[in-house]
Amino acid sequence: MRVLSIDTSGRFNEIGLVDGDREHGGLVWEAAGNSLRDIILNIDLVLGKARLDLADVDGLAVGVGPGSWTGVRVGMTVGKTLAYATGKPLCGISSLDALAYQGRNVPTLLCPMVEAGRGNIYAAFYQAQCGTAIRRGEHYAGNISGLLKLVKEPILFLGDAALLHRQAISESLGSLANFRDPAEEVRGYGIAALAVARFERGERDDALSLAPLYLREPLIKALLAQGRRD
Amino acid sequence: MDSRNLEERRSFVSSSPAATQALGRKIGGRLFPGSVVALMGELGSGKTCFAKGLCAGLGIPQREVNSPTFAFVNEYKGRLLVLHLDLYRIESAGMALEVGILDYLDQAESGVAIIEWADKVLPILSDSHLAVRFSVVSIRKREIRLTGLGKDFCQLLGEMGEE
Amino acid sequence: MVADGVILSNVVASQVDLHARFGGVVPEIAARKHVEAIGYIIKEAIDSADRNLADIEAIAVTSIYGLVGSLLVGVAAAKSLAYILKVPLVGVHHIEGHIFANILSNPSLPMPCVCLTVSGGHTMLVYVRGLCQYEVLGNTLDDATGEAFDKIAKFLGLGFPGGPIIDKLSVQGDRAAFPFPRPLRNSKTLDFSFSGLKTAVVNMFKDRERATLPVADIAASFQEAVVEHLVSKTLQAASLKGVSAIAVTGGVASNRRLREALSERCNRERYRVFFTRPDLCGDNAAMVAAAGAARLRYGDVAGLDLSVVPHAPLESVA
Repeated sequence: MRVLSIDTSGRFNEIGLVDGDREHGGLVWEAAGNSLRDIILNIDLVLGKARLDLADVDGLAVGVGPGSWTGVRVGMTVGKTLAYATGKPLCGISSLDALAYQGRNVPTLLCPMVEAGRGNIYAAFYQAQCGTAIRRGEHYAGNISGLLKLVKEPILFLGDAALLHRQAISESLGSLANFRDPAEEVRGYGIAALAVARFERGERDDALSLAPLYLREPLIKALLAQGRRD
Repeated sequence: MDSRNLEERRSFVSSSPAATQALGRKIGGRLFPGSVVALMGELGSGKTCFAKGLCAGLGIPQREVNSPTFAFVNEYKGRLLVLHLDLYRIESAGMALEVGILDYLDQAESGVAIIEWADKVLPILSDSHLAVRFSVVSIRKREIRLTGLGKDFCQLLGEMGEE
Repeated sequence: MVADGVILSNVVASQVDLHARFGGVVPEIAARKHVEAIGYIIKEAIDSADRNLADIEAIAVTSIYGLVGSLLVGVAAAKSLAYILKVPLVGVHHIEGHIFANILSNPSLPMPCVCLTVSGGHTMLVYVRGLCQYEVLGNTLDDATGEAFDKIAKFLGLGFPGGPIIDKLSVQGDRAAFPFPRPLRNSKTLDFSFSGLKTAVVNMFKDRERATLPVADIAASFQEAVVEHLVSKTLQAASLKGVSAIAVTGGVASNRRLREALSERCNRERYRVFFTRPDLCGDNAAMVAAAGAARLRYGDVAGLDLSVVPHAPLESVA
């Protein structure tokens, strides 16, 4: 099954093209305010390189966040519109799920994280199971130190945000904390792979009603707790 | 020293919109990258006027600076990038987040953020910002009270004289 | 959806609930609802025009001037459609859209003319030399007209949106009760300003109990000052440019007193005045389609790298 995936929720935009479990093509580029400008042309590029047309794709996948408010909006709108106009099935996938998927063969606790703005992060804990990663507990939104207080066992951190906070994490958790070698990062396929799994289970989302995953409430709580009272 | 507790205050009386703007200009000239200026006061108390002054101090012509109440945020390019926000329609910090204030504040990290009607977001601003409160004394007169929080703003206000 | 100047469908996702809660088009909220709503709106526009996707020959989208979060969603959807349908894409300036709302309403609008665009978000005087040929004559120095109405309405304890409420209430009030200052009265400038007027109203009444205020009279007098300001600058512009036709568009163009006062003055001084149809005064997409169709005829096609520009001047087609 050929799936084209789009994710613009993070610092890097990712387009992925998979054929079953085979990576067929993809493109990753730094968002830097140009996501909207480049997205359609880059989709066309990826398809062209694989000598495919959009018509040859069996399903579409889109990252629903959490992540940047502006970023998520671009990718989701493109994904939903492409799905609506072509009639192809669509699956929305969480950016944290997609990151956790990279650790699906790792026995320790997994913690993917993405930036939430103002030095805060969105994160969640996952455990590898049956070739995928299952989330344990609720999403976390807030600063890194609050998250680290919750960690009491060996854990693999995933995502660009984890590398950004690497020093603070290592100082706090010492040898409990593991990081992925950036060279091993397989960008762009988590969303597509998870979508393939969902499609194969007969699942799909409605292109018209699919909504972003904002995690607004947990973040508000965290910010108010952090803030100064005047 | 915990910079969180550093606070410096100054008070001015402005006898005209021009004077309010001039004070803004003086401060605008001293703003640094990452400056957040929170403006609070009732309708007509001089917030936008002061904002025009801040922008003038950053090399932005007065004519370009408009009330962003409807558009929510205006962007100007001066000595520093300026994001001019207006939270008039926002009723709480939660709603400010819903409108993406974090994204805007992140964008302004290399420039300046000027926030009109900042009352609702004061609790979620960082420890370093300049709070400016306007009150109407009479038809032309305004009292302008500045509170600098954090080392950098304390220094900024410290270097200014009383007027 | 617009074909040959005929509106086939015009779908506006009403955000009244959000407006009532937040008092206006708050960007990220509006944008967030756009992500959820955009697919439905496109589908509805096509369905209610009794057409199919395949019937679309071009896509026009507002890409210039507006709330970033909203513009992004529109352009992202438009580019996606243009890519799939392999049709031309046109990016339109929001204000140009409003000008075309007037042309859609008045197909025989003479050009050159002077167009007053007045709404919650902008107040501008534009010299329209010809189709898609513009010269901006004046702009607001502070608030937009609709914004000023909203703020005074809030101050008086009236609801949102302020313009229509003040307009309605003014009928019962005495517009000569309070001679509020007319902005920029003796100035040659064609710019507008409302902050002084706003401050004058607030200063006069803020120390009184709201329940004791003659709200209808204040509303009527305030509106009168606003209308007089708009009318005098518009006539000033028309005289300067030597045109014989005046167009009025944008949300505030549906204001009863503005229409009345401007028509009166135009009659006296022999100008022909053209108002936008009330249902096209507010933001809508039919006007964007019309503007896009016109620009397309001049070859103004956008690439699939089209992006958004939240603040940019209105420009003529090359």
